[in-house]
Amino acid sequence: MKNKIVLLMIFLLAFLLRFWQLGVNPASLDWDEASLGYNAYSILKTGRDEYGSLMPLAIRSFNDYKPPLYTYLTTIPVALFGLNEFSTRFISALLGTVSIVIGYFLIKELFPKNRHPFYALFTFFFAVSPWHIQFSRIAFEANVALFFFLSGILFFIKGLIKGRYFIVSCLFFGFSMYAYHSPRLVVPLLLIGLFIIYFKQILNNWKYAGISVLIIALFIFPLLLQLGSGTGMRLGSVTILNGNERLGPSIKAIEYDQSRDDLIGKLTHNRRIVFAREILGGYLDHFNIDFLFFFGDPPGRHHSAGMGMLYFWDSVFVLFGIYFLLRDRNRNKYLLFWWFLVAPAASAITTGTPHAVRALLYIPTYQIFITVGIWKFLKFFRSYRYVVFFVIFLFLLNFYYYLHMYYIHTPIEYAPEWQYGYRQVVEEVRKLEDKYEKVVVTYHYDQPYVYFLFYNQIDPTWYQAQWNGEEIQRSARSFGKYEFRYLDWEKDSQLSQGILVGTGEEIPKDVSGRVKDILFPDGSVAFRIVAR
Amino acid sequence: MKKLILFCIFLFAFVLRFFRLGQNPPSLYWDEASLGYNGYTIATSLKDEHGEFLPLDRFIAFGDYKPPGYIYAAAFSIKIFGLNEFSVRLPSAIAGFLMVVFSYLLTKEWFQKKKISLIAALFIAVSPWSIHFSRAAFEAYLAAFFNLAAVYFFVTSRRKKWLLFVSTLFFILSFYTFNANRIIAPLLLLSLSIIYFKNIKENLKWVIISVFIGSFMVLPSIGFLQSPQSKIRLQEVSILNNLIPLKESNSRIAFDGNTWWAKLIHNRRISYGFDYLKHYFDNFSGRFLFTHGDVNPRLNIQEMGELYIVELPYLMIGVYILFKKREKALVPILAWMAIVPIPAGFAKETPHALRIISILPTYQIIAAYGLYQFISYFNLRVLPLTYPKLRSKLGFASNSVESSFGNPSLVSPVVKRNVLLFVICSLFSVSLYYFLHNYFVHFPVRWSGEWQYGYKEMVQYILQNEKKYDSVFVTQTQGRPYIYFAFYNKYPVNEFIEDKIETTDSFGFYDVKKLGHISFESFDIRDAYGKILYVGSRGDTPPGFQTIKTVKNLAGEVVYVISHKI
Repeated sequence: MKNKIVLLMIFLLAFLLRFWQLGVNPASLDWDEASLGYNAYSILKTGRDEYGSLMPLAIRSFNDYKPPLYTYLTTIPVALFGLNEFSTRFISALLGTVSIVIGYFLIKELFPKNRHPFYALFTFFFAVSPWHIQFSRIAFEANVALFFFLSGILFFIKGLIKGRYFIVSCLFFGFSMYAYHSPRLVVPLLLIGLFIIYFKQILNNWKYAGISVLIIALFIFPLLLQLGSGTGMRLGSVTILNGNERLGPSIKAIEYDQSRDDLIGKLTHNRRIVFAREILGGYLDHFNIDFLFFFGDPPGRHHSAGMGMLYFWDSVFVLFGIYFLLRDRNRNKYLLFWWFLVAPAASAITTGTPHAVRALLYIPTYQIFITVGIWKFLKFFRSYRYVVFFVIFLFLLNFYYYLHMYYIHTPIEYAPEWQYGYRQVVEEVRKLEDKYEKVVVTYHYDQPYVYFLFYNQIDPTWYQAQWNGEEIQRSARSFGKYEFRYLDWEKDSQLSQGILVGTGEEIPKDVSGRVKDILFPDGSVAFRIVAR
Repeated sequence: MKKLILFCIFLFAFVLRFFRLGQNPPSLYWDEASLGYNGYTIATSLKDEHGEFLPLDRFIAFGDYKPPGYIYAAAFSIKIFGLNEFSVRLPSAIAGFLMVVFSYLLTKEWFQKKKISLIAALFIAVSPWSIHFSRAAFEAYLAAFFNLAAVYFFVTSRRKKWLLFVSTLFFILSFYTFNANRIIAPLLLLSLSIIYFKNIKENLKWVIISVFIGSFMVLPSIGFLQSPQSKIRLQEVSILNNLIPLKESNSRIAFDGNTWWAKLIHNRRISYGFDYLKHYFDNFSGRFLFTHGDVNPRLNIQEMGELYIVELPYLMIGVYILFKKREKALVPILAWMAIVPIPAGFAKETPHALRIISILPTYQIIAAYGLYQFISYFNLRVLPLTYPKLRSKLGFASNSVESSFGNPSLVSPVVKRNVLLFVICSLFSVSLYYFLHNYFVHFPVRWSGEWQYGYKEMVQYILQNEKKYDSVFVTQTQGRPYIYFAFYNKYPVNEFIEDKIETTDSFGFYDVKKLGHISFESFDIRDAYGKILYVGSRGDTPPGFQTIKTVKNLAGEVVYVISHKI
């Protein structure tokens, strides 16, 4: 009974940390979130995405062909709560909370011999993980993929005893591949490892295992077809494997070796070696201390100001945990370490490593290590009360610091990272636009059109008809009376009968017809609106 | 047998460090030239290039205040071999060779196993990090060797008490050889004293002698270390000059209403502390160690990390088993590895292969230990499972151990073990080939510009022909040309001091703008009269001048265009 109450409290905490001020902090939707929201709206109303494709398997969005699951799931909250920040982020927060519950059952399966406080401790660390909270409060597909991924692992372990769970497991793994890009590489790698680690148990359930393989194959097949088109394009734009500049020096070196007739030496400049080195470097980046504990990765959207992906407090216990887990006789440790090792695989083949989103599938291996570490630590020091209290005090301090930074300082310092200001711009323009023939909005902060679709809830049927299949230029779009491009003040200042929305730099401060300045929370000018 | 192997390893280490020592790296870069010329003036006249008599605390050199250790070492080799590229780099190369010897000795002292020591010696002998730095005149590498020797003698002082004093001497040598070691040496000495406190306690006589003589020997440097000049270089590279953490913490405190708790949690010391820790741990980043290395092409060949990627598994195994077996060497090795990047963490450019080079050969020792443990695990645990005869011999009942390796096979364990060894050796050989090929074939060609290639050819041409001209102008595009004229001309120091006209910039850096009738500033070329020789870079030949010679670097790019007006 007491155990259940503790668990419920933890789940409640997880819920609060994910839903409190959802849609308000982070202060604004970034372009990907807005696009997900509007595409969900479009699919809900018409069954088609913004480009008019019927029930697509990849959402074209900004030509990055987003995996579709998040969008489809979001149709439900959009139907319930209307199209707004809360409903767009709802699925992520909900599945983020459910992930904690899944995590509880998972740790029970992974460490069957431990006692309840151990499980509760892990669930708590998972619930308060800054990395997981960050992505549960924003509409990022990776978090949904993580939920399916965790469920897949949970049911896989259950399947070792009752074979039919393998099928459930593979369904979850399959769905995770349609929720985000990373699982498309990580899931197959993980499954190969699981197959080797649990070879015997899988063999005992070979019938179900066979069916599961078929199911997975069915899920993967359409993805392979997509490789040629949409998904392939996305991969092409972020991968490090296509960089011609990386091969430049090695091509020169090969030519030099050829001129010296050094055929063996030539092999050392093979592009496979060049690429392998880049991939390995990117992979190893995910173990950087400053990424994990101090500063996180460069985009401010991925972490709270002043924080890394984990608590600074965690650093020692992660090491303890790994060490003690290595010495543990529990066979599931191989699963955990394999998972830990393959989690950054998808991120490693892209540019911009380390990358908190692409490597999100790490979670909650770190939290498991921390739990094991702190568990052993507390056991060792259980008779030294003050040591225990001191450690708890340090944790609370760190937790308080995180919440303080997340709710007080991050919304101000990182607002520009979230394309802050578009909502206010759309509202302001809406008040004025009836009187004017044309609205020109700057492209400076990227993808402005999607915010006009989103906040004006423009009828998807009408919008889909606007696009006639021609190529879209990223920085010059228009529909209706709206035009989205970089402003050229010398020319645009001549405009009559129109509204101009530009940045503080694009439009001078003292111009006639200035309607309003939209400010970032730190007081600097985000947008300047001029109506003539 | 083992002695023969050891001899081969030493020979191999020697060849890797001395083969074409003066030719690759392709030329002397300015610090090397400066070390060389100062060593030369010490060797010939006991004065440095500024005319100071046997400086003990520092050499002014370019105003960067070089520590004296390397220069005195170079003075010896220059005395014997004359002033040339080889003799300048000789102390580094010898240090590189001796590092292999002392790695062997230290590993043997720690683990008492010859096999581990042999592997460790081999690893450091072929280490790209060690080879790269021992083939050019880097003060840091000589200091790293002194550091290693000091640790070795300290550990050995358990057996021979007087070696404690030798250890202190080597720590002091490293202290006088590289700036970072001025922090590393005392910290490491202190930690070793704590770790080996039991032995130190029983060795009071030599402790007292070491402390007494040691502090006496450090004395000459105290005055300089407290002077503002010694801090210039530090301030130039320090992360504490970065004002972002300060601004950030101030704005956060202000936003929280300047309360006491806001001042506590947003304290600038914490911000700088995290910034420091980031830079400190950068030196342990995987990209730096295993795949990409230092981004400065003078410090790394840019084709691989500081260590071989194939060492990574053995490093991990090594660390794990060191912990698991609670090896006595564990604490001193970890303390060593933790202390070395402490000074480097204060600098903006991290990771930095040069400033943390005193960390050698800890990685190689751990990897050697890991490899040894891996092979013995394979021999003792894995092989018996697959071979029935051995299994019963070793006391396993034939069915008691469930074999996870399928049916016991008929392949002899000896064959299997040899296959394993063969695989390990070939992986290392391929890696070594990869390094050597890139280092000896491509590195000098691709990066000769980084080594200021072209100075030698140009300077020698000018020295042969300068008498025909009334004035000579030389461009500064590659920086500090005067030192190359002094170096290749073997300028006697008294004449050098008389002939030069010097300048000092606002940071305290010193340069020579005119040496005899060779001028390094070309803006007054229009006022010059008579026959003029002009050395410019590509495309800046003044009107009316005739090109007589071009100097290219090894990549085929034109570095100097020599022209004249008669």
